[in-house]
Amino acid sequence: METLTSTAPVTRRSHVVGWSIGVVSLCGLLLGCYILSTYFQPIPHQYQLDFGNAKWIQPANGRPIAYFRTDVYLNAAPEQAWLEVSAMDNFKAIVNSHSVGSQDSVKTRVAEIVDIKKRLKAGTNVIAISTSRASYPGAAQILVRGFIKQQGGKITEFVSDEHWRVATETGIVPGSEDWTSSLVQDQSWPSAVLSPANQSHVDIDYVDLNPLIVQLEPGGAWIQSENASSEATFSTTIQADRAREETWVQVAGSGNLDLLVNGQLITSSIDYGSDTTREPHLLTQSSESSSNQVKGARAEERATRPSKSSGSPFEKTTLEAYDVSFWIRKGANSIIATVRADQHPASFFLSGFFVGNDGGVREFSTNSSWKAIDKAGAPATSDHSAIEIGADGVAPWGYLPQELARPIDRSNLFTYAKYVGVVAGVTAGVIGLWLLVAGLVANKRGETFRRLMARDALFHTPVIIGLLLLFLPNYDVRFPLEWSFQPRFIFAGFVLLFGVRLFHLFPGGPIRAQRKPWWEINRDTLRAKAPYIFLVLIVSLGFALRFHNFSQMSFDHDEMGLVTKSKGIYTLGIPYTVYAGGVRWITTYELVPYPLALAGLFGYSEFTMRFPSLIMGTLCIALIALIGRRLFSSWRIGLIAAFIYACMPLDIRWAQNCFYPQQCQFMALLTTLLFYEAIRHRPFHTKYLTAAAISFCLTYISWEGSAFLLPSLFVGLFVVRWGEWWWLKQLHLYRCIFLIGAVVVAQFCSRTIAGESYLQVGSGLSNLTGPSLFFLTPAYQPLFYINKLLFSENHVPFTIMALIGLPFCWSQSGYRYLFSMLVSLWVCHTNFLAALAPRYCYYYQPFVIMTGVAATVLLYDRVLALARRESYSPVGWICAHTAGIGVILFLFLQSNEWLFRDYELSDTGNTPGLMTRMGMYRYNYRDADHYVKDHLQPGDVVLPGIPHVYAFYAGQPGDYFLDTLLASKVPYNQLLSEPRFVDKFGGLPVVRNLAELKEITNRAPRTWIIFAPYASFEKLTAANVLEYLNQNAKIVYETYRAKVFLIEGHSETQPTRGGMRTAQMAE
Amino acid sequence: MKLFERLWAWAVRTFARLTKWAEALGNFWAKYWLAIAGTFFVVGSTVLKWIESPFTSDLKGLQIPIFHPPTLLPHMTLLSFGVIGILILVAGLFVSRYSLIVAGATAAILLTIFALVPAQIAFIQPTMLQRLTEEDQTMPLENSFNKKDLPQNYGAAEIIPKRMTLYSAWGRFVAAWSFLRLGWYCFGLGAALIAVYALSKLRGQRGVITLACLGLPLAALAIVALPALVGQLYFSRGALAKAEGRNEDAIANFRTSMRWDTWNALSIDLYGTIGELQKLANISYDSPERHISTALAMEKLSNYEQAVFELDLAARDGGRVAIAARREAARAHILLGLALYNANGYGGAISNWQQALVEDPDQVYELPYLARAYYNVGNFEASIDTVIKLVPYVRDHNQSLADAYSLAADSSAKIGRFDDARDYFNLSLAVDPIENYWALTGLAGE
Repeated sequence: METLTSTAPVTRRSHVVGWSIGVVSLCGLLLGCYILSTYFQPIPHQYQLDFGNAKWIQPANGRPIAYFRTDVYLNAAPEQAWLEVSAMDNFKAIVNSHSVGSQDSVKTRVAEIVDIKKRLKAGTNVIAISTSRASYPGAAQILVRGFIKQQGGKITEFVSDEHWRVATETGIVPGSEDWTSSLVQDQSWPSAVLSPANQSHVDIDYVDLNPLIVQLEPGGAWIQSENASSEATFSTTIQADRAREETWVQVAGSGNLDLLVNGQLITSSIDYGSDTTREPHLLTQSSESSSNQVKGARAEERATRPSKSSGSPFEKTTLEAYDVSFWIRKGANSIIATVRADQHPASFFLSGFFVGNDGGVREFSTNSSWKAIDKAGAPATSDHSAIEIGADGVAPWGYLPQELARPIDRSNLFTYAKYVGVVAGVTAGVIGLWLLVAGLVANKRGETFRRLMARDALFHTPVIIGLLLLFLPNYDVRFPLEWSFQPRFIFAGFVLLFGVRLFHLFPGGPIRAQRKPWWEINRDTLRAKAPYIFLVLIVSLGFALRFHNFSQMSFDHDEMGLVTKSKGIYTLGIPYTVYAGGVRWITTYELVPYPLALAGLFGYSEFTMRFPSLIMGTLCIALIALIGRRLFSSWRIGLIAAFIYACMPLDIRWAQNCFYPQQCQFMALLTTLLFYEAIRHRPFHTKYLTAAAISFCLTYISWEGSAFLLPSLFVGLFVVRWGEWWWLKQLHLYRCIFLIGAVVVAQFCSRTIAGESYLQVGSGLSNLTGPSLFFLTPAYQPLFYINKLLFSENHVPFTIMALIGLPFCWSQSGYRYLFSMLVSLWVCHTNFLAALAPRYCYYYQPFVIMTGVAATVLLYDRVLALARRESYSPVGWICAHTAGIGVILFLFLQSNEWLFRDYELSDTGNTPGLMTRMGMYRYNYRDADHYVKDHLQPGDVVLPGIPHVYAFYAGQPGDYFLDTLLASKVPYNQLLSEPRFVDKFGGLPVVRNLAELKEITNRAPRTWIIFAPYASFEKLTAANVLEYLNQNAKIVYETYRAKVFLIEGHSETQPTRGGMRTAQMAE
Repeated sequence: MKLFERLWAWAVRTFARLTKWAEALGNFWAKYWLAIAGTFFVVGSTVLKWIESPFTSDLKGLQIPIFHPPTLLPHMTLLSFGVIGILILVAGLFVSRYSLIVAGATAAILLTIFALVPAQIAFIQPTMLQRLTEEDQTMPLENSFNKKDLPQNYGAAEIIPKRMTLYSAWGRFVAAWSFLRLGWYCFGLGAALIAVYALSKLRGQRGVITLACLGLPLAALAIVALPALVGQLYFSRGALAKAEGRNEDAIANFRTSMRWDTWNALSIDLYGTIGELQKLANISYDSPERHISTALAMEKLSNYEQAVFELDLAARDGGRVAIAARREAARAHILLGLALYNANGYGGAISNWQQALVEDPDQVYELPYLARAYYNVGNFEASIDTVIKLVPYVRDHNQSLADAYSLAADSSAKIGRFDDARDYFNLSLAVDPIENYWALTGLAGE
């Protein structure tokens, strides 16, 4: 029996030069990138806010959702006012019912500083901040500092402390007023309490706007030309202490404004590619009302940010801040601004400052020393001093609102050509230096040039690893953007590059076999046992990580669907639910409820139901190690991949969830291993083949979307057995295919029969019956799984390593097998499955890790082989080890959250995917349902968001199911006294429109509506129903992505009991 | 029993024969798989979507003419990228039997065609990019209209390009690339596979083939992009002169930029900027640019009637400026129509949208508005007619098509044609079955 073997790669002598060039080029490219980013690209400055004496505050009851308020009384309108806010995960800051800022980034203490002077008024002002945590555990927390300078000079400062009021649901407000309204009396609200976060150091996110922009009073004066013409060019020169000194300017003009700093166009008034997306309105209508018609965040932004193109230009002028540091030269710097106003005199205002190395600030601004070139009524050459017409705050503009301008767009071909030139130049320089040093040393020491090339190339590897590791903080949300692009790191890189070459003086001769150290007396025995010891340790670690808090979160609706159906196994032996008098057996995930039913023998709880997933998740660790061992004939790849998998948040989270993905992944990995074991023999190993077929069937009935595994296995077979066709004659293969076909057809028949016998309406995934030519449809998204898997957060380096390894590792059958399966699964899911979801790719996610790790280790071996055979230097050998271990360390460190939080690694930025981060709550049905259950009174009606989840947690069914847009599939129940549509799990009657809802709410003394999951509930509910709820319902409880609404009969105008009760409870 | 044995023997023979054929086929595949896969991708790509239009029909490889912009209702044309690509491939593969270097040359030409497609959109036929970007910018308005004025249909949303930078040549190239879809990528992949095939077969001439495969597309790109790059240079100079207050220089540079770059020559914003500079410099009274400048200012103030008047004046003298002005006038009519519609002035909205179609028949983005406005004023026949006119344009966009059918169904129901209404609702559900509440409830008779 012939068997495929995977041998360790060796660097052939003929490839030594190529490998050496590759290593040196990589070093050159990395150094080039650092030099480019440090010296040739403008790096946006980022700042940490100083919150002074402000304290982190939170609600006393420790809820994750909170609404904070405080009042500030002013005698006069402010001339300067700013607000610094930080909160866990997200916040929305509102001043006098106007949104002034918002930030959102999961598991981050987001921060922002905003100018609020235009939102404040004389009298009582309400500062309101809402925050809604997505991370758990922990309470909603905020940190606030504000500063107001009133006209007349009186200064008012406020910070977050125990005097702030906080509510954990907006239902606390009686009547129809919004919680941010100044009419709301918040004295009855509970006081905020100091958060435990005050006792420890917390990392607060950086902000893009220099706080000095709003904290310093804009100096200078509005200036005009001598003739006050409608077009004028203003210019001046400012002195900088050094090149690229941090410099900010704020500018405003009475018309269109063009600004040049040292000949660089900073802002241009050419309206090129005009915005046609603005909602049109008639001339007679106010722009305010029209902008309010546009829904969503965009409209909100417009409402808060005045349009420069409508209404009076005086009133709408804004002081826009630009960071111009990149274009500042040492010595004199010119600033030129041209203002073109249509009907008014061209006026200009500039206020700027330099920030010295010591943090000292030097200000500059527009004044009469500026030159003004007047175009109208004067010769073009006339050049006079500008005329000051008043300081900031002068009529008609008043005190200008300040904001950060959009970043300067510098995208053009010449810029990119320059970038390429810099990187190519540095790379060429590094290569040239390498050749020079190798040549000189070879000449000096009388060694061969080829040997010196290899040795000197190896000396580059510590620099590569150092620069690579320095990349990681750039993607960590706790570091400023592009943190590592600093001259000192480049300097250190070059010092290391030159310093390590001193070892050419002590080459050390050929690397001899090491003598056996004393602790390796039983080396062979230890070697044989060590992998198993490591495996046990890794599996134990993985189990512990998965076990920790694994039942803390509430069931979500997907989990509960399977849990509900699993109960049918005890009676009929199949998973099913009953409604409309009939048994509705499960038509997808058929196998998943069986382990649940088994665990259910010990009672139904989050612990028991998730235990099978926990076990399968842990077993996956061992399977990955085993796959690595079998595919690459080496424990290293398997153990490293298993270790990374064991600690990866995505895999830990799914092992704590009893929906199908974990089981499907386990089965898929098992199939992958068994199939490889079968095909690595000639002829195929029939027992393994049979086992693989059975395992595939189990995978398929865990989730039928995994059917794509079958073609992928065959692609793997083609690639592994390239050019061999003998296996076509192996009859057992066809038997296995027949078995698989039978299972697939049976499952399809079951699905069809189950869907045939009853009438239902609505939309749902069950519309999807099988693969289709999805790539021909408009909904096709070719990049979906690239964004959600291959280039998603901590998968990015694995994908990159897998791609880098492609040309070098293709000769390895194990690598070919995994890589080709990964690619074919990605192609199949992207092109042939007409539904897209991040969880669909979870079952082949370990392939990404394994392929990346395999490529890394195989490359490590190649570099090591190069060192052993060519460098003739123990230092070279150490460098090679440093490189290999460094890359593995790099992969591990970025793959989890223990040291780095590289959330920005994603192709799409800091947008967390499904289950990608530890401690993110999905939907807290449990607390919402418990709340309703605890407050239920006789006669109350409950409309649960997800009826079967409510039935589980409340221990009693709800009354109706709200499905006003038929977003969920609802079957028809003809057996009811009044036949109607019902929900498919609990059999609750469906409320399809506002009339039916009103009929219920008008008759019931109290109606509870559980809005969970909140976002989709809001999206998939009819607009008139939402409007009705907004007007008549109170939010009496809020938690992670869930809200409880209460409608109290006809007593809309009376204070709600829910709100009062909640307030009492909070007190 | 004998029959069974004979059947069994036949089955064994057949199996043996089949495996023999399969093995032969497999060997052939193993030898030529790069060429086979490359050919498959190149040929197959021509019937796939190459260019995604946000509103109107998408374009397949066989529907993108090389020498003129495609029409709104695309059709297969012989001188298209797809057809030319297939012809070159077939010819190349045929001749490569005699000389393998031809396979390399074929791959180089195919890669050049591949590279030229985005350049064609960005630089050679800027009207096409203009149309695509205009559609792209129209979609938020369409979506807002649908959300406010139509019953809910939350079908799967399409991904359309966003935030395009159109004032630089590079930005336009990137914008053009962002509209390219699977077919174009498959064509490139196929060409690359054929190139690899040629490289694998011609061990001695790899350098030449690699050079051809990289150099030819780059050279073609450089030639095509050169005028736009020169235009960009003058545009940048113009912007700099404008910022320094040198209005005449700025105007001169902008005009030179227009001569080099057709995109700039058709840009209403650049004409508006020149007009503004002329006005401030007190030169070129009554020039088209000054009228355009005034018109754009009027548009910003929502004074669309005055804007249309000024644009009509700008279009008097003909030329490219007139094309741009007429297009803008049509757009102003559409915006005025929408503003009137929002203020419940359906009659005025209808007449403005009709006028927009007269000004520029390519402005079909307004047809959904027009159909709905007809419905609102009770002219159900006209509404159905407008939907029938609209359907061919939006046939590649499920949600728009479903909404059009649902509107026709509502109109049909209003005039008592319930069979037609049912058919239209069924069509709507067939093209967009996901969360199509409008059609679902319509069919249920609510």
